[in-house]
Amino acid sequence: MNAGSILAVLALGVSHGERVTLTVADVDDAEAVLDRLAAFLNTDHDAPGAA
Amino acid sequence: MTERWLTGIGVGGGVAVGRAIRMAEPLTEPVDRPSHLDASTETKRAQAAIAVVADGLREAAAHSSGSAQEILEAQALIAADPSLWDVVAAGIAASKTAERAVYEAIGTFAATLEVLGGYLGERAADLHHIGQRIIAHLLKVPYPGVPSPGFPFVLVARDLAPADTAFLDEQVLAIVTEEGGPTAHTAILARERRIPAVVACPEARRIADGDEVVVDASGGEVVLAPSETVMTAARDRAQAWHRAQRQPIRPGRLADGTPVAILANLGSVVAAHDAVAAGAEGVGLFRTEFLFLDAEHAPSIVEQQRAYAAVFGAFTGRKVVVRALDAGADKPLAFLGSGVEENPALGVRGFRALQRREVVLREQLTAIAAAAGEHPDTEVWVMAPMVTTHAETVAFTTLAHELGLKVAGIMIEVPAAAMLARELLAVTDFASIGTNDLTQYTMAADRMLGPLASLQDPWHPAVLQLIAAVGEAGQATGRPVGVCGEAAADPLLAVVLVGLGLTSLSMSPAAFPDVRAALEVHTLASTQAAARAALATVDAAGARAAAQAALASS
Repeated sequence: MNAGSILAVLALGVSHGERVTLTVADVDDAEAVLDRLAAFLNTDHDAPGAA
Repeated sequence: MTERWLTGIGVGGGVAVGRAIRMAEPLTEPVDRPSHLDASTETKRAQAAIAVVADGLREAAAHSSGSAQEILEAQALIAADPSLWDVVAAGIAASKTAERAVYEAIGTFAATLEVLGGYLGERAADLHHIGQRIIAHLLKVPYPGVPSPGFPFVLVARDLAPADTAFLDEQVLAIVTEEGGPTAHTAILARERRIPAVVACPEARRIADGDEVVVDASGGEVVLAPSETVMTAARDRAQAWHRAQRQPIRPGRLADGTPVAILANLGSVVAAHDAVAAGAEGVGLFRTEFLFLDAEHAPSIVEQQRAYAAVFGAFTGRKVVVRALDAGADKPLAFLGSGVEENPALGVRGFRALQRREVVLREQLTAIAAAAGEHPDTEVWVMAPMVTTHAETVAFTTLAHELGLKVAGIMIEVPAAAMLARELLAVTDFASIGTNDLTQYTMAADRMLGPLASLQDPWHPAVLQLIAAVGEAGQATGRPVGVCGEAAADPLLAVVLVGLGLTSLSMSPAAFPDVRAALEVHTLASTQAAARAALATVDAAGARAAAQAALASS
């Protein structure tokens, strides 16, 4: 599914602690995009001080 | 029409009385018939409508702030969502009208979220509202928004869209919705804007335009066709609540400037925010029983720490007095295994129960200390419930200090402790009087027994004399002594308590405005005169009258 679609992401119903697989189209900055997405997912956004 | 009580989930506290106006019902379902336009025309219509709605939501977001802004931004994102568009486009390709294609696409995603339930299930409402907006635009009909009847009213709706709640004006006295939940946007915004609301009240569909209703957000109730008595009581409470909202929140003090800390009694983590909003200068009694009530085992240290830290975080720069678990045969807890007692009020309860399960107390104090470490700017105090003896006072204070808690004190609820207050204060850091139990033990009257209710009066001079003994002990030893029973919520009694030497008053936040106002008009000398007058009487009614007379003449 398209991670650029908030509805598709919500509809996945992923809960805290679940494993997700990220794939990115083969473009120049694919690695950097993947890193940023992974970092985002690994952040506890409810933690105090999390932006 | 006879009075009828409808129940739902109250949000944000407060009471309102007014005439109900219903929000227009949603649009009817677009008919499923083949379009007489070609697919490219329908596609353009759908694209244009979605763009207009998404732009409108983005613009609304730009004009709001806080949660309203976040919710509206998310809504704009959903309206322009690529997955939503894929399904709409597929519908149009199958010769559906743009209206029908949007309706079905929204329905598909909403159904998925509803199946997931919980937080995501509540987002389904957001989707339906966006769908309504797009379809209204396609049909060139007005979007069913918030009515404006030209007078203050109670807004009744099946549910509200974020865009609706974001633009509510001061004409809206209260909100009642049939759907929604405590975490849905209507609830979030109502809380933030301090509009009393009752959500998830399915019976609200019985309310018609123009009906007189009472909305009690603190009790989660709506009264349809209320009696004169109910209306009058509600109007009084609504006024008090509005005074509280309007009153500039100042620290509690007497007319001569003597500070009297106005603290909150809390029984849960969520109540902390309402207490802060009401201007609590701290928490005088944080009851921790809620963590243990349904537990087979004591909750883990980590679990406890999280709950305590949540409250400490809300009171940065202020004081939070945590009371160790208060249980006994009258408040049985599964894991404490309290036996059946002939006379539970006089049994193994309060600190007595904790001493018999010291590991529970140690774990709790450890969790409190750890949570306090996370919030070094919050002043964390702990106290033991229902302490009777000097030995108990020493035991608790020593253990709490040992486990890293700087300030440890006791609750004085037993006459024996009140009479020896000076000796007890010599070996502990502070005392807090629990007036409900102190009254029950002084008057030998069970607090649960209706026929003895007249004896359950903290105004009784015998109770006041014990409080005076504790107040004097506090003054003599220089240790803080406060009250954390509901006696502090009685404005006249609050004045007398200050006159008896107490330096802080802890009560439910709803009582703040009245107590603050009562304190501000008297000097320390006149509160002391009132206290002396009340002490020199023979019964509760006499004490009340004497205090009133003394204040009137000072």
